[in-house]
Amino acid sequence: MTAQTALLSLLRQELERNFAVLRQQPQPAYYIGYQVTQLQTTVLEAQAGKLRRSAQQHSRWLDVDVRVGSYELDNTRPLQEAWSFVDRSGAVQLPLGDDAQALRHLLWQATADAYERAAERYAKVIASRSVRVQEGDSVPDFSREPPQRRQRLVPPLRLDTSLWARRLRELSASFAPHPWIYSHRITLQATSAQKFLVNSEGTELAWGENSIFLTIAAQTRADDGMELPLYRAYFAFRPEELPSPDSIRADIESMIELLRRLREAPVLETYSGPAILSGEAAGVFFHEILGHRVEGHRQKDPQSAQMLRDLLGKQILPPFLDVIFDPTRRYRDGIPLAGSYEFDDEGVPAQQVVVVERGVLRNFLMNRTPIAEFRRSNGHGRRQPGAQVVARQSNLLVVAHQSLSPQELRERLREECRRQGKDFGLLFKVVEGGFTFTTRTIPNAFNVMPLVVYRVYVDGRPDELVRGVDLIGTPLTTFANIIAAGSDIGVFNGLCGAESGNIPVSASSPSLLVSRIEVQKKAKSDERLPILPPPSVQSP
Amino acid sequence: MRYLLLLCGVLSVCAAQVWQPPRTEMVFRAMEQELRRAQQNLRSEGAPAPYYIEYRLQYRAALVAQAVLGELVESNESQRATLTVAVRIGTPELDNTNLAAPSFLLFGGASPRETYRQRTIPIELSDTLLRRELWLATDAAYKDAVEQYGRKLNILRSQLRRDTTPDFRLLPAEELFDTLAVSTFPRALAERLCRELSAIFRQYPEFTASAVSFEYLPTQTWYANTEGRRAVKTELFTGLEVVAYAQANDGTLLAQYYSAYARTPAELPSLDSLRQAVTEVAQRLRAQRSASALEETYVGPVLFEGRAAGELIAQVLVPQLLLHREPLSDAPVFTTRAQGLARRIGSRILPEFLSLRAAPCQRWFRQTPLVGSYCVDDEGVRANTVQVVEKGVLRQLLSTRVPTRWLARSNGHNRAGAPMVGVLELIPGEGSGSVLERQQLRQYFLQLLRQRELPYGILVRSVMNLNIAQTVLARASLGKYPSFAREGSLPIVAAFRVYPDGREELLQPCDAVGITVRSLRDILAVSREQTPYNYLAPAAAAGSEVPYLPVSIVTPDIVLEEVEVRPREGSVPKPPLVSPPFIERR
Repeated sequence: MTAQTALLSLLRQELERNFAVLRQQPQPAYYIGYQVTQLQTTVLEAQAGKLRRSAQQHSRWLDVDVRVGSYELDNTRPLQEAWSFVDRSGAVQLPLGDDAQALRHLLWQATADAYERAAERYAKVIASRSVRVQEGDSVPDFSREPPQRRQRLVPPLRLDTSLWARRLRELSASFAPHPWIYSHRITLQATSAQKFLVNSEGTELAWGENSIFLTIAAQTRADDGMELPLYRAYFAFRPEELPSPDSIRADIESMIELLRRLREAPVLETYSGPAILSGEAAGVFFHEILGHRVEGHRQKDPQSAQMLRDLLGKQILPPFLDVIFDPTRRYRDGIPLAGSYEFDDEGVPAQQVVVVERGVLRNFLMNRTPIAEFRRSNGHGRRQPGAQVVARQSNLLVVAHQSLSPQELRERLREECRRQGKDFGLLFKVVEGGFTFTTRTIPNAFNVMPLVVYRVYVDGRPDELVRGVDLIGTPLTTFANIIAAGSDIGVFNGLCGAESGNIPVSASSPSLLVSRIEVQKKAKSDERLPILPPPSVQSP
Repeated sequence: MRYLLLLCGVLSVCAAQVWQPPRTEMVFRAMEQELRRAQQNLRSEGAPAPYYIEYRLQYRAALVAQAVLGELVESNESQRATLTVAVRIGTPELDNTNLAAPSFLLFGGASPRETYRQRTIPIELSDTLLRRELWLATDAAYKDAVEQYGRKLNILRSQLRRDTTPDFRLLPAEELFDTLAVSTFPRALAERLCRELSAIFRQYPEFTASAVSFEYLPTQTWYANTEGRRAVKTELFTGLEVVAYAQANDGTLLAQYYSAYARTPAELPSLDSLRQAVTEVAQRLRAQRSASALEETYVGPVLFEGRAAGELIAQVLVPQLLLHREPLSDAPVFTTRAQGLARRIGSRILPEFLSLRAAPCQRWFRQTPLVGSYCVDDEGVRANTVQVVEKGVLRQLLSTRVPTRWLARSNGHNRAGAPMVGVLELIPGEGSGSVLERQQLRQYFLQLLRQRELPYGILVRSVMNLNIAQTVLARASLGKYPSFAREGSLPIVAAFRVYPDGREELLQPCDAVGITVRSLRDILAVSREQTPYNYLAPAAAAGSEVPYLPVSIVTPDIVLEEVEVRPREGSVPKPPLVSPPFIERR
């Protein structure tokens, strides 16, 4: 018996033993799921030619999901209470070896703990039903899915740590001669995750997810105190897929040059008018504005604004755009996509989901929490170990059915500027990420944080780098203003943080022309530059 | 532990821990260059230049392992380098410090200023890189100092300063070295030790959880300031912590623990002693599951034995011995850090037959290493032996370089930025009738019960340590075991009913309530024999930059005249509905 089969069988034995008792209780458990995530992580970080951090960790985490009640009504039913949907029980750290006694004892302890919490919450749900108006009462709390049985572990990553430590030292040394870059670091994080999932419905899965993020972060400050950060991230499934050191070095050199220019760039005042979002920027834009609003569980949460729910089947984007979430896709234009996986964290096979088709909203991202319109999961239940699974994004792909060349897109921007009587439009080249609010109590706005923005002049002057703005707006208005797409594709790989923790995602898109966007001044520090010159330029 | 080291000699495959601190000459060269540069040129328009700057660089390697039921759950090695900078502007009479100035950042806000306390810097350092880090941290510390100084002057425009003690006192240059050769420890041995000890709990399947964790943390610290003070010191710390957690038949939450702290792994008790200690923990917990609870509150004499007496002193007395200065503030709510016993200097706080001495540089007590010991403190000041209490009368508290109206100079007790005990010895006086041999003390206690016609008395052998409760026990019990004691309450985990005829009966956990430092005046008698007790003291509450610091207490057994001991009350979680897996298999 292989180690993985032995582990699955041990999980099964302990699950069955606990389930046999807990299903007989007055508050019966009707579902138990055990997910084991075995992580091997290497982190190397360098600064100015020296190693800043070096860590290798091996850990194994257990998440126990116990559901009390029935598929129709259980302990996870959202309540009108603060953080009602979020149950951060925290994962239990399991032994790294396969000794049955040690493992089964911890499984038992964690199951008892999870059942106690589930039973307590179920009692609250029942009490709440008798005194409150129910929303979406007829919709079950948990979908029925066919059991899955597969073992597809992938070999863990083999990373030559001394080679990479040397490489990162060498690459980070490129920053050393530039003392006005106040902080910088190059970080390599390689993670091999082996996941095992067993549940009381008969699912028995073992699969693997390997990922490598190489990130470069550097920051300077303008004379007026404004912080000017730049980031660059590379994602790969295998070390060989990362760019060559020469290519990374070239990227670092252009980052340094861009930082130098940003320090001297003028501050953009408030602006409202046409703009091009680069593919990468448009990807983040869609991730924030659309992606978080099509996460299915939000449509059931009474605290969520659920603003897209009534728009199913209606036009929300121009007819030349599709928005697809596809965890089964590993590359776009040869670039690895971080939001890829084979099974989601509820053991449902990953599926492609066309959320917007020809501009019409067709679907939501679903985990096993049904809503009135969609009763089944489409393989988007995800979590970081320790959090409760909710519907999350995977690989967001914006697909344009008609597109313009980059030159044609710029020309359209100028035309639009002329039409609106503007001297210039904006080009958002690089963005850092963003955030959005989806609840009812806070206005449903978004904020995308650009790092590199250019003024594109109507009269043909060269583009001018500017700084100091955030891209803001309200979702539906902004969707309606997209008027054209480019033929290029930009990919943003990163970590998305939400209720169920940090998970890797990607967002890719062609460049998009928006007839009207709004920017507001970025929150700026008034911190002065260091008083003394850096030590390296002054003799001791 | 000798056994383990010998084993490593045989198995030459053991990989050693990484210990690669920067070179001392390089560190001091970089620090001196940046101190000089900052002292000569660092000045913001309209603000005073610094009159004092200090740097503290710390390099630490950590080897951490944990096992449950004979299986490893964690085994990691890491290194970390941190830098702390302090800048003073104004004059020693009145500078930017001793100001309570809370700052609030709104949602999403982050201070754009570089960090300068416990700033993480690369583990590999060059002269250029260290100077860059010092430059940025000094700049940030200076800017904060300028703002604090402005706020302080502003407060003084509207408030009369009652406490006119100077803010600082400059000292002459001095160089202090307290370094040791650091021997690294093979990770395989740490893992093996945890596995072997935790496997003992396999014989106790009825327990809900158990864990054994080990850590070895060699640390090197470099200190330099603008007075010309220089210090380098090596501190070694090894910890072995064992916890077991269960529920009594009536649902009461039970926990037992054992801890052994030393400087090096080789100084830990022998493997046989450790095995025995773990077995005792397990047996006591098993016995406690069916032990009786106190039916009602007990009020009467209590005997604290061995390590329990150490924990009593740790929780009741240690936090009161630290000399803090009351900071200036325009928001009184932020000035309430306990003044400890400062106002009682010259008064009797212990019985006449007891004295208290802080001897931070004392390395051993008989055969036991004292982990709280150090000879140079974190301000580069020589650690002084301090007679804290002399024949019951409080003479001096433990101070740093922050002058107070009670003590203007440091006695070398700055640990990670705040005053903290290192080694404390409670010394029974010679020739007093209240200082008895251990056996006589017990007889005295029984006699006391008979005199007072009490049906029984309470003997305490273990008090829960707060660090254990908040870290390894909290993790092992999945947060179920209460990790905070109520104010003024001492959580007793091994209390015994002692009948006047000497019989003992283990009780379920209970709490001693209302014990304050005043209660210690009523110590009736102590044993002549003292027990060393090493533990990790909560340090953040005293203003330290780190959550816990190793402290050593040497104390006799103690009989307190009157203590209120209450049974644990309130609801308890129901025991798990499913029985543990091994019991079923048996």
